Amino acid sequence: MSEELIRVRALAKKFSRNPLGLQKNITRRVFAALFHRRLKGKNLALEEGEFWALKDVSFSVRRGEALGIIGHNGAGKTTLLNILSSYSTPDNGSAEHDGRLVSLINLSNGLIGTLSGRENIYTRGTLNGLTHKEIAASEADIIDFAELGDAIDAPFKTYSSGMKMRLAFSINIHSRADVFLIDEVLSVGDMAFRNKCYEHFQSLKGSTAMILVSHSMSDIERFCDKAVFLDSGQVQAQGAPADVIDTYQKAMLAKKEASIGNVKTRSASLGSSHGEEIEAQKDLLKLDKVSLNGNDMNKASVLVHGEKLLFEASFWVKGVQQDLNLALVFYKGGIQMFNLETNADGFIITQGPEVDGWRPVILTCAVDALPLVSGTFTPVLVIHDGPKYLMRQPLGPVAVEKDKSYRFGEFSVPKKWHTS
Amino acid sequence: MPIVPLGFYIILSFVNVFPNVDGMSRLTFVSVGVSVWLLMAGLISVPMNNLEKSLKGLEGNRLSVLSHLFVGLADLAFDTFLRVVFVILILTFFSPDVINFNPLAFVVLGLACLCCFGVGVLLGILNLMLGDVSRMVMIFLQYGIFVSGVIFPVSRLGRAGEIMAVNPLHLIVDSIRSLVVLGDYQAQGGFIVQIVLGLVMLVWACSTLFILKDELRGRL
Repeated sequence: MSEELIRVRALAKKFSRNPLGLQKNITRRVFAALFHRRLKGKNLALEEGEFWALKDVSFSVRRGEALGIIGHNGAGKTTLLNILSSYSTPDNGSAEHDGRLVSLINLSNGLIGTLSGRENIYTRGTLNGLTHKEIAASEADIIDFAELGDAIDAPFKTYSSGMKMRLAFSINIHSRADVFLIDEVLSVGDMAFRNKCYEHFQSLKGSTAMILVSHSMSDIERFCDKAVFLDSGQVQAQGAPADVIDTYQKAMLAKKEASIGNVKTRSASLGSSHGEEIEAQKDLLKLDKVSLNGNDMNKASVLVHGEKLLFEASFWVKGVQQDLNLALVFYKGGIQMFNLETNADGFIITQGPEVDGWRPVILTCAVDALPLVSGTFTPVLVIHDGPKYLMRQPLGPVAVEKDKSYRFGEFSVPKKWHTS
Repeated sequence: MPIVPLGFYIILSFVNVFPNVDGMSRLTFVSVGVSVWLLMAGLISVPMNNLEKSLKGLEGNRLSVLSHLFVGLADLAFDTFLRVVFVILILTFFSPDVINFNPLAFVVLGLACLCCFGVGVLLGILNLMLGDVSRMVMIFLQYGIFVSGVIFPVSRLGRAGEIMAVNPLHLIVDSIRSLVVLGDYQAQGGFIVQIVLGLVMLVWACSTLFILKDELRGRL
C-alpha cells in the first residue's frame, strides 16, 4: 500500500463573529505567549460570538489518491485547506503532510505585477520551494502549458486575467509537488484549458496526493477516489464519491425544503416579480385542488430535473364560461421560465354538469421530463375566461434539483443522439 | 527623502542655531547624533508598526514572520546607508574636527541595533493587545530627539537633563558618537546594564514572536 501523505486528525478551528471577542482572543494569546505558553488545544470551549469553522475532522490521503471535499459555502472547506497549507493554525488536532506541498488556493499569491511572466516563474517557483536549477528545467513546460508564447517577457500586470491565471496555474502544477491542494481553481480559463489541467492532474495522480475542493459534483465524481462531505465544519460523510455526493444532495435538498418557506415570504416582501396578482373571484370560481405529482401546490415542493411531472387541478366555475383557459407559469427572477397552458396547446377545457349553478372542472397535464434544470421557481396559477381573469395567484415555491448528470443552463429537454 | 530631516538639522547647525559642545563642533555633534538617532528610532518603529501586518501576511504564504519584518528593515538599511554617505561627505568637507574613529563603534552599534530591534518587536507585540502603544511611542520618537542629547547636550537641559541622562536612547547616541568622533569610550555602567537588558528583551521578544506566529496565524 502506498504511503500516507496527508494526515488530518481531530482537527478543530474556531472563529469569532464578534470583533470584541476576536480582540479578547488575540489579547489572551499574546499574553500567554509573553510567558511562553501556547493556548492551542487548551481552550476548546466556545465563547460568545464564536463558532466552529471545523470540528473533529479526520481523514488521510495516500500517494496516488485524490480526495474531493464537498459542502455548501461556509462549510469549512477553504479553512481546512488553509490549515493544511499552514496559512492558518488549528485550535486543536493536527494536519500534517509529507513532501512538498503546493496550494492552488489563491493563485495570484507571490506574483508581482512589475516583473515579467518569466521572472515571476522564478519568483513563484522559489516560493514553492524549487531551486533555480529545477525552475530552469521546467521553464519551457510552464510557458508552453500557460500558452503565453512571446507574452512571457511582458510585465505580468499587462496580462489579461485569464493569462494571469493560466501562468499562475502552470507554475504551480509544475512545482514537482507531492501534495496538491486545489480549491475551485479548476474553473480558471476556458473549457479547453480546464480539460488540459484535468489531463495534467490525471497524469500526476499516480505520484501525488491531491485534495480537490469543488462545487462541481461531476468534477468530484470523475476525478476523485474518495470524498468528504463537510457541513458546519463537521464531516457528515466520507467514502466513495458517488455515495458521498448522494448524501450531500439529500442533505442539501432537506435544507432547501426547510428554508423554502422563507423564499415564499421573501418573494412576497420583495413585491411581485411574477406579474400582477388577482384574487380568485369567489362569485365565479372556487378552487378545490392544485397539485404537482400529488403534492399540494399551496405548499413548497421539490422536484428533480428530468422526472415525470403530473399537474392536477380541480375547481368549480359559475355557469358556462365560453373561453375558459388555465395556465401554470413558472417564474424565476421575474422571468417566465416554463408554462403549462391549455390555450397554447389548443386544449379546450370541458366543464362538468351543473350543480347549484356551479360546474366542475378537472384537469390533468402530464410532462414526460421536467425541462427546468435547477433553482427555485414561483409557480403562478392563472385561470381566465377570454380576457377576463378569474384568478392569477402565486402558489408555493418549487425547488428544482439537478439530476446526477452534468448539465448547464436553465432548461434542458430529452434528446436523441445518433452517430454514423 | 531619507536625508531630508538630517539635512535640515545640519543646515540649522551651520547657521549656529544649536549651542557649542565640548570636544567637537556642533556640525559633527548634530550630524552623527541625528544619524544614530534615526537608525535607532527606525529599528524600534519598523518592527513595532509592521508586526501586525507581517503576522497577517503569513496567512497567504508559508514565509517566516521575520522575512516579512526584514522587508521593512531592508528599507531602513538603505536609508541609513544614504545618511552615512551624506554625513561622511559633510564631515569631510565642512567639519573642523579630526575624526578618530574607533572600530569598537561597530560592536557597540551592532549591540545597540539588536537591543532597539528587540524593543521594537516587544512593543509591536504589546501593540497587538493595546492599539495605542505604537502611537505613544511614535510621539516619543518624534519629539524625543530634542531631549535625548542628540542635538542639544543634556547638560544644557538643566534638571530635565539629569532625568534625560538615563534615557536609553541618549546613552546609545552618546556612546556611539564618542566612539565615532573622539575614539574614546568611557564605559558607563548604565549603558552596559541597558545593553544586557536590551539583549534579554530581544531574546524574550523573538521567542514570544516564535510562539505568536503559530498562535495568531489566520486569526488577525
